[in-house]
Amino acid sequence: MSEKPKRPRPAPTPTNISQQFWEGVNKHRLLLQRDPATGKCQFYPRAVNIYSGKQDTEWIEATGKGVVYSFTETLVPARGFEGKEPYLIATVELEEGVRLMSLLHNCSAADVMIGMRVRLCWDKINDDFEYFAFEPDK
Amino acid sequence: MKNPLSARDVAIIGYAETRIVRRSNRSTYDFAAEAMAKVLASTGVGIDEIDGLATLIPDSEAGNNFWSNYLGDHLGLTTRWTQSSDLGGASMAANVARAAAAIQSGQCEMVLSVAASTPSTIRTDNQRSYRSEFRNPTGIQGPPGAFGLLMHRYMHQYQLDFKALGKLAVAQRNGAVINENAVDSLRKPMTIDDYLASRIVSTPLRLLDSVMPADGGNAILITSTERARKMQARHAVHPIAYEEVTNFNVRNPMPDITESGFTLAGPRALAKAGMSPADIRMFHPYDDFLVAVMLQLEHIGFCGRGEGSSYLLSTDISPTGKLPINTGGGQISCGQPGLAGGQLNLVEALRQMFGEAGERQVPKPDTAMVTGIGVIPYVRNWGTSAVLILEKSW
Repeated sequence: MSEKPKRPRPAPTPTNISQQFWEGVNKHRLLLQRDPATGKCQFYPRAVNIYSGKQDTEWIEATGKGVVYSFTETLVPARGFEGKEPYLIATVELEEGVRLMSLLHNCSAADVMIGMRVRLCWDKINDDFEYFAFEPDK
Repeated sequence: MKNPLSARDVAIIGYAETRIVRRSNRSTYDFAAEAMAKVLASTGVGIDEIDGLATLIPDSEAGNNFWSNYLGDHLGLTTRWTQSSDLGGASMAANVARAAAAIQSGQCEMVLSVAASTPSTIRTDNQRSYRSEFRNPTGIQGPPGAFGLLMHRYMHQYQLDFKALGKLAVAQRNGAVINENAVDSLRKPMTIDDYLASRIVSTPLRLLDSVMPADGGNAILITSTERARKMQARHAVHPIAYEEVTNFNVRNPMPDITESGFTLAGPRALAKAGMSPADIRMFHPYDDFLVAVMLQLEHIGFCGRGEGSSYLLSTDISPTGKLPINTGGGQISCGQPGLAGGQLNLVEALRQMFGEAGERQVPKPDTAMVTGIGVIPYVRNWGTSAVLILEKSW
């Protein structure tokens, strides 16, 4: 029996800019860049502090608590997600004031709601990478 | 606000378009050449008269960091001014403004602005940064997923009536049915119920909310009004105002995703033209997804925020209506020749203003607004919003 070779789930492509972020992820810590002057955070990791134009961001660890900003249930899977459909993707706003996008675990399309409280959880992509995800915070 | 275009000293004198086809197995250069040959034939301009070339980096040739040079070589053009824009679907509206500025500053006199792409045959694009690092690993279904997120948030803040999107889908489809350049499989009439019954890709977004990738090309010729008069061009349309915004809200880490750069570019372009939305005879907005058209109506000011559904339901958007929208079918019903689709609705606006739209001709097509959208960023609304206002001269 010949089966179509399964395409692997896309793994992130880290750069020197995000190296610390991914080291954090592998220790189950979600790191954010913060502007030391205003305390405002930014995501995704960048080589510059977007609030000042300086290269002076500092890393902080997020609490992992947030709320759902929006969501979509994927019925036609993306490359590397074949067979996993349907699955939920959410944009989540963290207490630290940034918005992220990830899979939403342990939640059905019937239960997901904008404004719903969620917490950080983890998701193994392959032997080298974990990825952040969220789940309902009950 | 300074607006050199108000001098009306720049004119678009020709347009051309290839048929849009699925999986053509033709080269990008072939579509570009066909579009150029057609626009030269329809205007009587000689190949040796072209001294400016504007294009965009297409899905099917991305990776060639000498793209515009290769393209001009293939087409047999020696140019004094050459521009390759990478604003995605906003590139070709942007190129009109860039070409106009080049003509006004004496860098060139006759610009071929040509787009071609064949993403249903081959794609060579490779976007890194946030796309490969933080978007693709989530499993989001590309643009349909991003617009699913956008639509759900819009529904949370406002009323979204899917029948309004269905009405827009049907209006555009009616144009494609009588547009011989549209993809064959899309030239079949459809109803609002067909739209509502189409399968969901990424909730709440349906298949018929979306463009279908295809292959094709298009071209326009831009020159000085003086030269257009001297050569007795058959038609001339002036670009009279242009505004673009790229990376709207980039320093806001949690922006309202139901807003876009059109909230700035739309009113600014109208102010430059000395117009209000009521002065726009027809609207040819960039349409990768139906809801993007609805949001543009709100952001540019044709209606208030959150009023897009009721505006669409209460407005005749057919060619003979109050505000004709994407009369040729738009990208959604013609097929999207990749990023070259960004010039598709501009070509239709010119066809209308030249009085050459046949069965779908808009009466008194004196003014038009054409828009462009580029890039889907990480958790924000689209990256570039471009607004071009056109006025018929002769």
